[in-house]
Amino acid sequence: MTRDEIFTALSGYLQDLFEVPADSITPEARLFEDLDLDSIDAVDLVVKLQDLTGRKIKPDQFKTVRTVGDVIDRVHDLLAE
Amino acid sequence: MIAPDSRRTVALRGGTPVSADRFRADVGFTAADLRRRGCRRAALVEADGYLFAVGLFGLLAAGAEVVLPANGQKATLAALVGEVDLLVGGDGLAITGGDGVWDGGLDAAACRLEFFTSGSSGATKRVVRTLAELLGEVAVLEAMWGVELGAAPVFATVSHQHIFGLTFRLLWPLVAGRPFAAEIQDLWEGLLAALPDGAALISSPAHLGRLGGLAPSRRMVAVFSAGAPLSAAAAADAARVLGAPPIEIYGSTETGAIASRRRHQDDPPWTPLPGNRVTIGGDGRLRLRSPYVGDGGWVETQDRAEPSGDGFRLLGRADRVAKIEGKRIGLDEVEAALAALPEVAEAAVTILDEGRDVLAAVVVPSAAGRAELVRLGAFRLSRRLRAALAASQDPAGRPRRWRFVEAIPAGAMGKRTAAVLAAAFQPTERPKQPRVTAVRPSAGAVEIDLAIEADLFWFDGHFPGDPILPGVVQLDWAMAFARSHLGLTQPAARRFQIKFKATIRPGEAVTLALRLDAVRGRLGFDYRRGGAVCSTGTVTLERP
Repeated sequence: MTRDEIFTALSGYLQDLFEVPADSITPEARLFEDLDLDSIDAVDLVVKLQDLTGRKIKPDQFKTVRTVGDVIDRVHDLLAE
Repeated sequence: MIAPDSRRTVALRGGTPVSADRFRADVGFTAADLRRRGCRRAALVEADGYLFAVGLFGLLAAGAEVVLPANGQKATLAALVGEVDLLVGGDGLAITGGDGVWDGGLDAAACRLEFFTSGSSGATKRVVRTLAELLGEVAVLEAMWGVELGAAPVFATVSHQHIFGLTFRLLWPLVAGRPFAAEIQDLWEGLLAALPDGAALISSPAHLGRLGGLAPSRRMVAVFSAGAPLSAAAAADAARVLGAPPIEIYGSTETGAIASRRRHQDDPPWTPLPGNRVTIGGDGRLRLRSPYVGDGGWVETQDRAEPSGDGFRLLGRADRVAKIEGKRIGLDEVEAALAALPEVAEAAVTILDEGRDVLAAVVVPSAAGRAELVRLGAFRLSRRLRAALAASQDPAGRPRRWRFVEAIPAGAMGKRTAAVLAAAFQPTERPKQPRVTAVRPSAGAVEIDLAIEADLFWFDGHFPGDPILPGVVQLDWAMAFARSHLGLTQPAARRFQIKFKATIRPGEAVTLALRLDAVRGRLGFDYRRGGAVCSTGTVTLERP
């Protein structure tokens, strides 16, 4: 899965699950401050990313995630493991 | 059961009185006709209260069982095919008068009425009651409020196809000798025009909740409401506009009226009707023992309650407790917590099935909430509200999905059901075509008046904050209308010219004029608004 493909999937989740407007989803966008996600959204997002990657995600792997780009990096790393 | 004074008025049809003599003659004729047809079991659906009463007592006098569908919709009636002999009502209920006057007598205990009711889950359920049970309740109602009502005529906004309407607007007036209005008024404009001072009104939160903008206009002797709890604002509006603080009735199809309370400014506890005994079971559910329900034993309701004074307070439906992520969540408590937020005027929560159970909120914003909605947008406001709920709710009790609406969607009689609330979360199909308001054809040409709706799909992103109708859409519509009105077969315009002189914006009304020039092989079109040209173009037609 390329970074672009991960971004497309992530962008789809953010729009469908959390009703985030498409034009605000950029790699630089901060999940909590810019997109207004909260901790409940983060848990839901991790569940979705597990479905996407087929890998179990440990909560501390996502602790340092701040931006949409961070999520893409983390998912990319996870798939490379 | 119809009092001996035969000149007495039983009903008002379009304001014209119908006498008891006439009623008995109509019932007698109908019963004789039904007996001739061998009808043993019939579905009764009739919007006119007088004709409904004639059909009801005609069936009962003929010894037939009566099935009362919730409405006359095709699908509802289709589901009854095969289990009833006859559908009574509508055009089939022809009354011509004649011999065989009904003597007013019936074996009420043997008269079976079958109702359809929907729980808050939205699934329908059948409930059988006898006429004797309903008349027993009517006697209690008359003992409670008969003096207060006096000879008041009875008007209604609720249907007699449901038990509350049948008992309160039809059986009670018939037995007590008050005339009832045959028509059910669905809109306040119509009702207030027909409603005299000194009448009694049988209504529900679906109507009393929509009195807000109206000026004080009538003095009712009494206003009854049932079906769902009345909001404090609706209770105050009813008192102001109709001149009587509403009397709320709590009950169910299975039990009839259980308790009542008179609503002034406060939120008083419910008092059981005389003869009814209530207790609260170990599971918190209200239990009722009534001489007019079943065999007089204890009946369990679906409502949670707590004792209060001589009566009780309702805490919500027992089935309004959901299990989310392994935690028990009281949906009514979440609603109350939401409603307590300054941004929220009213809230309803429900469970959506998205493979797992998802808590969802439908919110009517307050004035402050509306301002925030404009400033922040729906998504950010929903996250603010969710953060505010953290003070009282576990994560599982904070809704995942949010909708902001003008009014909480409700079904018949103001009942909120899971199905009605879930529909608010369905994606709505945005229109892609204009609404045609008039078509003026002439030889080889046509003029079409179009309403450009504000929620048109094409305004999305074109342009943000400055919506205008795209030129390519104007061209496409011109081709589509030329196909449907001028017999054009070409699917799309490939060679065309178009000039734009003015923009077309949401909510405007425009006229599209189409001219087919067969000789030169051209379609000419223009869009005008109030005579001024917005755009004009020609399409070169391709030879087939």
